[in-house]
Amino acid sequence: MTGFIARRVALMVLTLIGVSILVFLITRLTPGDPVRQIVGPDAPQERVDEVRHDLGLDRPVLDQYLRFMGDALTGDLGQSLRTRQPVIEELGARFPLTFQLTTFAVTIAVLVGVPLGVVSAAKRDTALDRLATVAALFGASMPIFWIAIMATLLFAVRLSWLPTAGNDGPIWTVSGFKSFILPGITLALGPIALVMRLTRSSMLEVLSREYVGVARAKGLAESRVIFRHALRNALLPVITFIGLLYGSLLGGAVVTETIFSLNGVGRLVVTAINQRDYPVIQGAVLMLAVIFTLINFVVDIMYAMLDPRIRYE
Amino acid sequence: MSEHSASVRSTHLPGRVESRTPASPSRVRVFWRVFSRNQLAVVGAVIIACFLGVAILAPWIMPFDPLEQSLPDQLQGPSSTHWLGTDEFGRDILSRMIAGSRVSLMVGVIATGIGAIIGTAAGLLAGYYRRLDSVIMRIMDILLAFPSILLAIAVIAILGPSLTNVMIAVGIRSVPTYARLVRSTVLSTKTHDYVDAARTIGCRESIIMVKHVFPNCVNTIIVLSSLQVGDAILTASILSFLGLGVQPPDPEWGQMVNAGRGYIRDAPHITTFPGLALFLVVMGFNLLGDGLRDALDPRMKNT
Repeated sequence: MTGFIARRVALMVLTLIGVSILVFLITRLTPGDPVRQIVGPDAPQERVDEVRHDLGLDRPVLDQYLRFMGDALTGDLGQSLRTRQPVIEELGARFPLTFQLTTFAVTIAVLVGVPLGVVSAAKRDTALDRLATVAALFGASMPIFWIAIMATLLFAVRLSWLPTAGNDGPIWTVSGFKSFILPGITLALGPIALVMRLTRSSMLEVLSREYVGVARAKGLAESRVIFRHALRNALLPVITFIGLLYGSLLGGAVVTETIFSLNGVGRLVVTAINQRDYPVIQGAVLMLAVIFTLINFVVDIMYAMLDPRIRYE
Repeated sequence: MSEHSASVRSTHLPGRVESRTPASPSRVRVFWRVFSRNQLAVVGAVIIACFLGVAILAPWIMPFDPLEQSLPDQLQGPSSTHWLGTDEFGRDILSRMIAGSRVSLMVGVIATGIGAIIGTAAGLLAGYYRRLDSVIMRIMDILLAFPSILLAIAVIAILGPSLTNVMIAVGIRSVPTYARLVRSTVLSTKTHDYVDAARTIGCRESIIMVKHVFPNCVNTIIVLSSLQVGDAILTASILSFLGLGVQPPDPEWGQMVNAGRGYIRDAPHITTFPGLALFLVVMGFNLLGDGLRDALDPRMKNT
């Protein structure tokens, strides 16, 4: 197991270095002079040279990258070109909201998707199974931004049950929770479909195993066979998937946050791109990619702990 | 049974090393039998055929010019003149949606094509040449380290918002998926006896890779692509919705939904119809993809 973890850590470090190079290149590959964007098109040449020197942009690219990495490792992601605030502070202020939204969506996806998948597999090829499959298909094909707007129209504008947009505090307060309901559910729709499909196919595979036949032959009640014997084993791939889902929803929150005017990291990225605020884009993309990579790493390790066969691949 | 004997034949007759293409008449028949029994897949195919027909015939069937503004007609609901109503500039929504179908389908197909070509080449090289494997797959790991939509957004941040760049961004996003799947197919194919046989009669490695190993990946690529097109259309529409894709006044469904947001209380039809079209076409591709998978490559079912 130690060898396995060591190999994974090495791979992760390699990936993270690659990620940081790619993020570093965002500003270098962009057409136009980043210094001109900071000082404006009419600034005198001396001012341009001065800022270029201050930012270290007159040094060799490798030097610039190493400096970027060194700063990033100490938590210095530069300053926002618009607000002049340190990027790390802007991210820190907005991450809790994105984290709450993502956690809420993942919880909904699991609480709805897993039971639907189990029922669908247990009642295979019945009308219920087909209904669940079609529902999952609907969920997977739904444009999230469109369903978000339609849900707002119905529940917030017409029925006035929920706030239309904005955030009214953390999720554990009543008003805060209300403002998370619509964004959380719309963000969870696609994942519900994925979790359901995965649980269903994993359950079907496990249900065809011999030990399930043995459990049935012993005369156990079907519910006991399904929950005690099949589900426990079928959940393994689902757990892995939930980890991956978590990371991808951190990215997916971009759309939900924009529609519901939630000041999270996702909305920050979109605003930053529209304003060409490159340090913020770099910082946010780097942070989300690093979190995503760390989650993948933890999932890999957990999987190997739960299923020893993985370690000997 | 026939498939089994076919594989036995090709394994034991080193003289006959031509690859098994998926297009032989019996295979087409088997495919059609399985596919046509799947009602949902047929529904998907019909939906796509309809949208494709609309996209091809667009210039002839659009009732109005999709860009022509007519302020006196703004924000009208559906009527006999404007079947799906008009938007905030009085433009005919049906005409804009018909024009938008071209954009969405084109983005879906071209972006998927970009991902499929680069991803397949990467997967083929990584699976076939051990020396390249770890380099290529580490690059894929790096691409996979970004949540999918964020990768597309990062690419747009570099290239700038435009239709072409959306296709590139959405295409790059699917490269690792193709690379991984094709690589794993290549790894299992290359151990077959007929590959050794081809080598024994003196075939060049690159010829073996392209002519004898690659055809085994074709089914997998077709199935993945049909599932990817819907996804690509969705992602592209998300980018346009966020203002990072197709720019106004050019009609694109995601961008139309975004434009209608401000009028959602009084004119919800501006948002409703383009979103519905998007949903239908993506579902069509997903249904078709599921059907193709069951008919062409049932092993993929659990991946």
